[in-house]
Amino acid sequence: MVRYAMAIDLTRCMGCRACVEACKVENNTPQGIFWMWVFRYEEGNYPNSKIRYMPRPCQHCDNAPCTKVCPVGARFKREDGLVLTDVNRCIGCRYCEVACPYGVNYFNWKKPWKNQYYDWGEEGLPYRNPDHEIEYEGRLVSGGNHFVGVMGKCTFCVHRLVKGLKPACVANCPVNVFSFGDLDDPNSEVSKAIADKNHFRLQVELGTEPKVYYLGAPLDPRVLRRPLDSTREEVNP
Amino acid sequence: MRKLLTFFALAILCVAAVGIIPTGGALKGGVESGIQQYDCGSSCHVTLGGATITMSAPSLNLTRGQSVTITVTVSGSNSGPILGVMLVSLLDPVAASVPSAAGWTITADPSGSGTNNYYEMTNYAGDTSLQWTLTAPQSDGTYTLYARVHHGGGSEPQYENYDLGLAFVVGAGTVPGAPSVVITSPLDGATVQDTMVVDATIQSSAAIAYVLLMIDDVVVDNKSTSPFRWDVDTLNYSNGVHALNVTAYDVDGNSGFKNITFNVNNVVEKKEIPTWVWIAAGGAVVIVAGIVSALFLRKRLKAMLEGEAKELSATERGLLAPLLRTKPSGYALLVLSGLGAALFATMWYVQMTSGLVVTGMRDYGMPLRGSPWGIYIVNFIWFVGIAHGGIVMSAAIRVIRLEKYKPIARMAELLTVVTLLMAGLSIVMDMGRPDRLFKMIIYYADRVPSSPLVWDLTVIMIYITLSVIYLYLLMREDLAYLRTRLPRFRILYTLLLFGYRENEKEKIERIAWWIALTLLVIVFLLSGGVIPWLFGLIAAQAGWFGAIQGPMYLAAALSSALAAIIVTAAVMRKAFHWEAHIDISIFRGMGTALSVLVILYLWFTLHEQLTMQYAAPSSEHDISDAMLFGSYAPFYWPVIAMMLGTFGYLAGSALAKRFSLVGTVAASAVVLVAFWLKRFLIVVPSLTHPRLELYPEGIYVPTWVEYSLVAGTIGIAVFLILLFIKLFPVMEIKEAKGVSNESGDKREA
Repeated sequence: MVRYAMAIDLTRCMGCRACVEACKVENNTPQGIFWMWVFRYEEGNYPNSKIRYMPRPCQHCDNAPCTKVCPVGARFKREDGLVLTDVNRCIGCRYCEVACPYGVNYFNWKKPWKNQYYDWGEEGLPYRNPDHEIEYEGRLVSGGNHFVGVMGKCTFCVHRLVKGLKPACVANCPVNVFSFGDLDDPNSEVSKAIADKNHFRLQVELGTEPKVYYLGAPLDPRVLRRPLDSTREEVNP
Repeated sequence: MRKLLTFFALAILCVAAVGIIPTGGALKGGVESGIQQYDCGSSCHVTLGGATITMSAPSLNLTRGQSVTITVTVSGSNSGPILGVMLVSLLDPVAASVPSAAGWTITADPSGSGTNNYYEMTNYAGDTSLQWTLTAPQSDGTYTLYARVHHGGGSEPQYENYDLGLAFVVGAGTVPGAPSVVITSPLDGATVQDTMVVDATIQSSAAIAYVLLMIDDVVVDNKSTSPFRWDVDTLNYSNGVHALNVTAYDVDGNSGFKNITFNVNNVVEKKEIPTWVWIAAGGAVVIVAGIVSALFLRKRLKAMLEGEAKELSATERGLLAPLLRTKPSGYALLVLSGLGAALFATMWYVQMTSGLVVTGMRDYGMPLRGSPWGIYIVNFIWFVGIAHGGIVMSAAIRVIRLEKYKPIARMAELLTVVTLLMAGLSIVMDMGRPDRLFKMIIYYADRVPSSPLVWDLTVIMIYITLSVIYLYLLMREDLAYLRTRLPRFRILYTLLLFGYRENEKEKIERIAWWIALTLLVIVFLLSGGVIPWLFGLIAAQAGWFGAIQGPMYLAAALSSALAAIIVTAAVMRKAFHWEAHIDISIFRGMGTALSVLVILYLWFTLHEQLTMQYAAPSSEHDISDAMLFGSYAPFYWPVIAMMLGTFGYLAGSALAKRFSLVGTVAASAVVLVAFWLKRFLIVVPSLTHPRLELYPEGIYVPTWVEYSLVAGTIGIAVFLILLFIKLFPVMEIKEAKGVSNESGDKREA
């Protein structure tokens, strides 16, 4: 069985957010919703401060708290490691969002097929991706434009994986920050990346067993980190 | 009964059998000939070293369903004697790569006896030609077929050895001399009504064998002789665009066809049954059912309805004040609460049509920096809290025999049922898809082991069921007594008293005692259990996780419940002049209990904040800071001051033995407000201070839609309480002071 995992090389990331853009285009997510996000933050105090970047997809935890709390089983973990949302089943209680320590869940606060970056009006989607209308393993899980009032989040591009392609963020990174593949295969990109370099995972102390590995030095608890983004008004759905 | 059981057993067996029987499908292992997908598991045959594979067909232009023979030639040497060759319609590694998925039908494969797309040679020694015969797909288009040597494994098939493929064009370019079809009526895209005439002219060098007329891919008719003309009744088709196809076959087996579309636009007669028919039918059903049941229960109902009217004593008239008359202030309150309900309906409609975007809630984290839960959840916890105390009060009165508090028992029960309904409503209005609420029932068994929200559903359902039964059972005796004394309600009470017996009191008391005991236990499960667990088990949110939540929520629930009962009872006592029946000492006792519960809550709060401040992880510390000194301090300190103030006042007046009813009621109202705000300070700050430090602090400002819905739930609660006290005795008649049980209804004895 495949066990998908991702490695993100923080020493390479330059904060261009091409992955964010690729994700939005590939999954057609509505305005204000960023399944992939890149943190930009200042580390340390002046004059010893530095700007740093950290991409944040869904961590696809092995012990995912969101799947535990879901009252209808709409959030579930597949055998290949993907944590997905069945948008046909979700009742919109947002308990998964509350239970997630990584903040990767995005609710469809309004009809998602309008008001992208540019308001396309009643005409509908800027474009249609039929891959998102297919059920994978019998459940409608792919893509960001289905219904109002349901939850969505990063799917590791499940619709691309079935075609043998890599997730959009991985495929579009200009500096090869991401490695993606099968954790059980010692020759996969991700296995090699983890084997070669120092790595850490976010908030492992919560026992979530995330499947996204960050390459580089762990976040030092003694150093001050200050987020640089605060653009709520511009992206409000 | 036995037949029924047998039926179920058989049904289960059938279902099991269907589950066991293996279903057909593409094989994966590359062993022997068969139907193969893109990959072949782990048993693939190796690549063809340096050799090539080519394919050819006599023609690339096919008509629908035409048969074609494809020759695949493999040349060069192989590393082993076994070689598998397969025909696929896609080079993508998907299950739909078998030719049948594209519409092809294989009628013969190289073995000569099968219809497989994969052929395995066990003794390949050099150049070989293989032949497949296929039938073309049934719709027009370009269809490509590839031949390739079987190679690949797992989810990573490789296509090193394949032909560039043959692109077959199906439809256009038919065989010379084959029939050609021209449809003269209707025109392509024409709009038609009623009867549509289809007229086709067919030219063919050979004699026509038969002509098919198809609409929406369904064969409507076939003809073998001219004229090729049909009358089609379009009323059989829905309004809109449909596809029409005429296909002609000649005796040589060649065919030609023409596709057009037509648009049906019939004036649809409204066949819907008018509303009044439904109402009349419904009314008729009710009347017939009523007559039938009346015939069955004639004697009983006769006896119940015919009992002679009796007079009420003056004391009883006092106790039944709300049923006997309504003051202008009562009407005013009814209108006001009705307006609250109307506001709720309007705003909920707005929220349902626009989505939850009209609320102030947003996703936590970047970039929206919001709070995914807001004052709806706050309202839910607050109402659930109030719901407890009511029934606990009443249950405690019964189980530990607090006779003094008996007059307010039914008010407390009423408050429980109504606030529990409002708690449920608060959750429903928070949901993105309330129309899918039923899914919680469907997947109940699957989710109940792990989802605290499902535990909530369970316990609230049990609670409301028991509360309603409890309220109803204990009211039956009064209803029986009042049936003959309140002619206006005689029919309603008679219906509710179905199955009433004069001597049932003992049995009902016994049932009620056990329900009371159960409810007392469940309070710890709900208010000190599943509601706090909704938060206390969530490790992701700093400030929630921890064991203190259980006791804290219980203290908060009992405090706000006691406060709500004090306010309700005092208002009713004043409005209906029940000073003689509801003794002032009842309020004194409840006020003292309230002071103890409030200080207990503050004590827990001290524990909580000290832990968060002293040596906690920075995420916990930040939340405590935000509450004590930061953006939430303007709410936090007033809440603490309100609680301390009410404790000081209530405890002080208890110690000084100086009691003021107005003061106690005011203090209770303050407690209610304080605990609503305190629930806000539990739910929101944790969500606006994400545990992951890379997120900035969030913002949550409720919108007027949220305020309206919250105000609406309170309006609905008041409305329901008014409705109840106008229909049923809210004071216990037979248990009240000054009412002789001897004057009870002996008619049925």
